[in-house]
Amino acid sequence: MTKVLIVEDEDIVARMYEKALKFNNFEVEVAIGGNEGLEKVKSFKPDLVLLDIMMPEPDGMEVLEKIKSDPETSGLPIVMLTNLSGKHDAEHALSKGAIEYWVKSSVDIKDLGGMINNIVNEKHPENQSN
Amino acid sequence: MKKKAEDGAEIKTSSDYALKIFSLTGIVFFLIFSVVYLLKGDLFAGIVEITIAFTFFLNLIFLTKHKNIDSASSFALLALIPFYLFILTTGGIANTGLFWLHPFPVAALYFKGSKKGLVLSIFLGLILVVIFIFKLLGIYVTPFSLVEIRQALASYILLNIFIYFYQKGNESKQKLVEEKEKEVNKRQEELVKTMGKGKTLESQFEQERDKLNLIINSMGEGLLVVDKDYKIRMINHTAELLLGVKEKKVLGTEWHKLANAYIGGKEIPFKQRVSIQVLNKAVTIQTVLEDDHYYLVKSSGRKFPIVSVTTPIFEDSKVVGAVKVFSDATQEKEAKILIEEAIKSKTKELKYEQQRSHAILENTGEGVILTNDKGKITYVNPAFEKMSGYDNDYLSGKDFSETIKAYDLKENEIPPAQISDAAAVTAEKQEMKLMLQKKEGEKIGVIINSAPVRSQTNFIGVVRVIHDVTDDLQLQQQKDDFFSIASHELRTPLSVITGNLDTVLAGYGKSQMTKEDLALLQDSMDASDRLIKMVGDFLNISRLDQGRLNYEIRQVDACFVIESVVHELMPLIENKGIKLSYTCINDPKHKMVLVDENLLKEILINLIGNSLKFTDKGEIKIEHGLKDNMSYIKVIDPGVGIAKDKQKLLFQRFQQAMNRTLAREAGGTGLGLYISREFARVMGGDLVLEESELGKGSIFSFTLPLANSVK
Repeated sequence: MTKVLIVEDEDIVARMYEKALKFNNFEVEVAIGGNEGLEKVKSFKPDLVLLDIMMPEPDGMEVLEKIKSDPETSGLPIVMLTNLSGKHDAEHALSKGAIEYWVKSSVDIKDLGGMINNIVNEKHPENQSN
Repeated sequence: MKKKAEDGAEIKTSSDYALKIFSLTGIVFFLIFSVVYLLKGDLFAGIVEITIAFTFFLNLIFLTKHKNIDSASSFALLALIPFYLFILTTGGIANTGLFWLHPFPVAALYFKGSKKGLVLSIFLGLILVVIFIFKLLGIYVTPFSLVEIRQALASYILLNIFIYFYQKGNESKQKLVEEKEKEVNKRQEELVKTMGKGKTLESQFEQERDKLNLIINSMGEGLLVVDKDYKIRMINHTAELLLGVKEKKVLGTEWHKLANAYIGGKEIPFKQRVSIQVLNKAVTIQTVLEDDHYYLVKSSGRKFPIVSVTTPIFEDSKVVGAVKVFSDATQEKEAKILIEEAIKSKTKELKYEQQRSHAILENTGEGVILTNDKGKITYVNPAFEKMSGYDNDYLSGKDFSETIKAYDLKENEIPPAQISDAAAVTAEKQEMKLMLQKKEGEKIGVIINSAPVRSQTNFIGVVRVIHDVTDDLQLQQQKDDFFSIASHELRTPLSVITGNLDTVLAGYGKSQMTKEDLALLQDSMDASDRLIKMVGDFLNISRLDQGRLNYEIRQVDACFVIESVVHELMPLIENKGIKLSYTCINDPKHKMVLVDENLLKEILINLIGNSLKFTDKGEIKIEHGLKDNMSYIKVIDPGVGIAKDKQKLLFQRFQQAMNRTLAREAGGTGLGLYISREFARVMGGDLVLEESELGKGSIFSFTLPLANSVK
């Protein structure tokens, strides 16, 4: 099963994604806030991280930078899932190593699982059998 | 008949009358004849008589209208020749006795002095003579009797004799007039010659002297002539009045006995009097208002300021006298004093004004910078010193735009030229919102109002008033932040509601739920979707209103965006069982547009979504082309259409939201089309309802700027 870590400061939002993904047969772990996110990246060892940006310190951009600067986790695909819709924010995140930048309002929750699978399968073609 | 006539000569009025009467008589005469013949029953003769009357009539018209003998003669010739030929060949009007009258109109022309008239007259005479001789000799027998021909000849000759004497009479009258004229001219010449002669040198001299006296006595200035002994030799009327004397009494009197002279309040000693100096030194001396030169008239005791010019008179290079021209300068003196006083008080006012202006500048909260015509700072007030951290001494003599760095509100540096004095002069009045860098490096938001200062028309510098808006900008930033947070806060709970409902409806925990439960959840889901859309609309309206819409214009592939929106909506379209067609613009060069991709998507989703909502069968077409150098996209649906009276409400902001009778956009805020149009306009295009008819469908279209304009 594909392991997804959701880093999100709002528990109701996190839970929404958690339930939807679990329903689609993902193994899901939720981290409330950036610090918990950084811990769980190491303990849970996810295949992909869904990372919110607007969070109390450390925010999503800082978390992204930390994950990418740690050699142990730098290869992890990180998808920014945020309410910020500016082009500027997207470019910034992609330049820091995020693999995708999704705006929450334009991601249909029904499609989320498929979108994640696309990325994971592209990254690790051997997992395609999942 | 030797009278020479000039071709084309103008008709003279004198003989004009005679001719007109002549022609009129002809007309009357021949009309009577024709009536007589017609009464007798001789139709042919009657018509001939009318023809002759008509000939006279035409003659009359020509003479009065054309006023040119040659045209009249030409006509007469043309009219009469066929007439004569007719008579001579047919002889159809024998015994009418009219023959002798025929030359009359022609003769009349000759009468007026035309060459053609003369030719015609001779021609007619010859015809008559030939006819006469032929008749006598029996060669050609006309129906006319010899008597008649003789009558005609006689009348012809008589007429010509009459004309001859008439002309002659005219000629002699003319001669007489010419002679009289000559005589008059001669007399005039003589008169001119006589004039100029007989005037003596003496009278001429007297005249000149009178003229000179007239000039001197009508001068506004007083004039005195003194001889080398200082005695008055001439005094004009003005001088008499000024000095209160009579010419007769003062001629021969010494000048200094009439009046004392003062300078600067002191009497001038005799030897230093201006006239004495002029006589002794043989120079011209002028005294002006500033010299404080006064005369005190001894007889009356009247004292008055004067200005004067005194010039020596030479005879054989020796000074024999002096001419003094002077005037009473009382009025000028008074005026001068008034002006001096006015200047004093104005100077005081000015100083007061300056102090006041200075106090205002020193104490106002607005920053003020003054520069001179060279663009160098001459003054900076304390408010600006405080604002910028630079002091007056540091800035004085420096160029404003070169010294203080300026940035736009996005913190890009502004080139100095844009805020230079030259720019201020060109713009005449300039208001700019920008950021200035303080001496310490921090940036402040300011509004700079600059204007060139002119004194009369001379440019003397630029004044800049600087209003600190740092706090306003911060407030604006806070508002912006609040907005994005508010929209985030609004969206998050809504998206959680829809997201969870979606998951449940997709089957999560489905086993415990009845169909009715699911229907209720579906309703909640639809309601949430609507709520999300409404929140989105209101946020967009607020952003548009406050000019805070976030967008970024870039080169975008319009085909790609349209295709992706179509792809996104495809499930809905297929669900409804209708078709949708789209073909990218023909020329791939024109598919690139300058837009914000998200705004473009919103417009497309709105237009196609509306069409979808109101179309139950058939095909929605998206056409993509060019119009007026713009990308042109049409969304055509065969749906329910919009009633004419509702069409104008479509783009009104709140009208629709309140007017539920408009079925279009049911379930939304009714702001979708308004927002789409605003989005199109923000990007430099426009959005319109092209046409719509109830039951037949609607066509909406919008334009977008091309990345590469069509040539």
